[in-house]
Amino acid sequence: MILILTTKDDIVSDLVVLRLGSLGEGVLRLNTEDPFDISIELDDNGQRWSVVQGLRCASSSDTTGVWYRRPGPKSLRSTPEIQDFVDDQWTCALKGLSTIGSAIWINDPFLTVAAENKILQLRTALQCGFRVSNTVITNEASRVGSFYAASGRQAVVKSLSSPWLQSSERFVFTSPLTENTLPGDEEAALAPFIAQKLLSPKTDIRVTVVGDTVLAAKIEADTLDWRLSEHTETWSACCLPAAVEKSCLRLCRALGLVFGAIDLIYSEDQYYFIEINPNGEWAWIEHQTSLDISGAIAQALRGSNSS
Amino acid sequence: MQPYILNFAVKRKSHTQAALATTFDAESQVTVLIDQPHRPIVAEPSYAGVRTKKQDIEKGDDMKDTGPKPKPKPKPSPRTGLRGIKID
Repeated sequence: MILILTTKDDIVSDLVVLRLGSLGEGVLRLNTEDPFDISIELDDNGQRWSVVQGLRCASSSDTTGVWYRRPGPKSLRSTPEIQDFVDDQWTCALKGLSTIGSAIWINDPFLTVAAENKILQLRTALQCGFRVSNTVITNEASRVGSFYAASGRQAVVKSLSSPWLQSSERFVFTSPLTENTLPGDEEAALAPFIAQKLLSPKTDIRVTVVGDTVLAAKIEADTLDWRLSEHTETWSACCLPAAVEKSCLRLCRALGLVFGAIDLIYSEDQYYFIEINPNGEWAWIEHQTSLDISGAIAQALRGSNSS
Repeated sequence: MQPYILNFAVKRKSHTQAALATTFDAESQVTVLIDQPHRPIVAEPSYAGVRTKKQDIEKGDDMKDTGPKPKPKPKPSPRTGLRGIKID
């Protein structure tokens, strides 16, 4: 049995559900919106767990893999305070399941949280043999100014933590640092951020690691941040040098991740680590390149493709 | 005053397929289009919702003084969102 923790509208999960079905594997896709539709129980002082939704059940004794995909908030008509409280209780319960039994988790939710820290990512990437573009993380405007000058006025800035502002639906993309956009003292002091030497010209590479499988794709985007491109370019599968592949695997293992979506930049004959997304998206790459990412995830959940 | 890095924040539409009429099929455990329950949906890039100025105008988002807009009908097609990724 495979347990997938997500929501009804997570269409990416469908790809893996279908692959698991074709392998004859039982699946409980636990859609987390409706608490009245889910039964969860931890028995024997937390030694065993079981979850039920509809006619399907998964338990710590029969589940070989759990995909902590995107369990979402409960759909409640309540105050934000009650909503947050309910969501916190459920998050605690679902994450707690990862501490019981022998199932493979993609990924261990506690390790995912740790691995999302960009400072830890940079340090670990260096230890795993990656090159990293010259970087400074600071809230000092003067330091950014000196970094900018030392970088030959070729630098970018990006957020240190989540770049997404939920209520205003805004996103902080990697942006160029220029004379006109250098920070003032106070606005810089409010929150630290990343400044990095610009890599240009470049090719963006997304490496999806699933267990021992390394699947790489590249795009020649005409924008600084490929996510801002007009989507006229397409991704294509590519091969990485063995040493870079090895670094990708080492990085995921060092962070305790079965799955990792790693962003690299290829510039001036070198590969540079940008970041790793422990729960990154991948379906569009599979669609454009035919890289079998859903198949790799399905196999890893069955225990046949994990490190 | 806002944190410096937020000077670079840009509007981005959240990437859901809410414009499509879907339902969850408990039997197959996948999300399906209501009028084509045999056909699962293929996901699009998570960043495909980034709107350009041109797209905003086309969608009428900048035409705030033209009165209420008719509610768009769900698209009963095998295509998804802005990218229109099709499976066959």
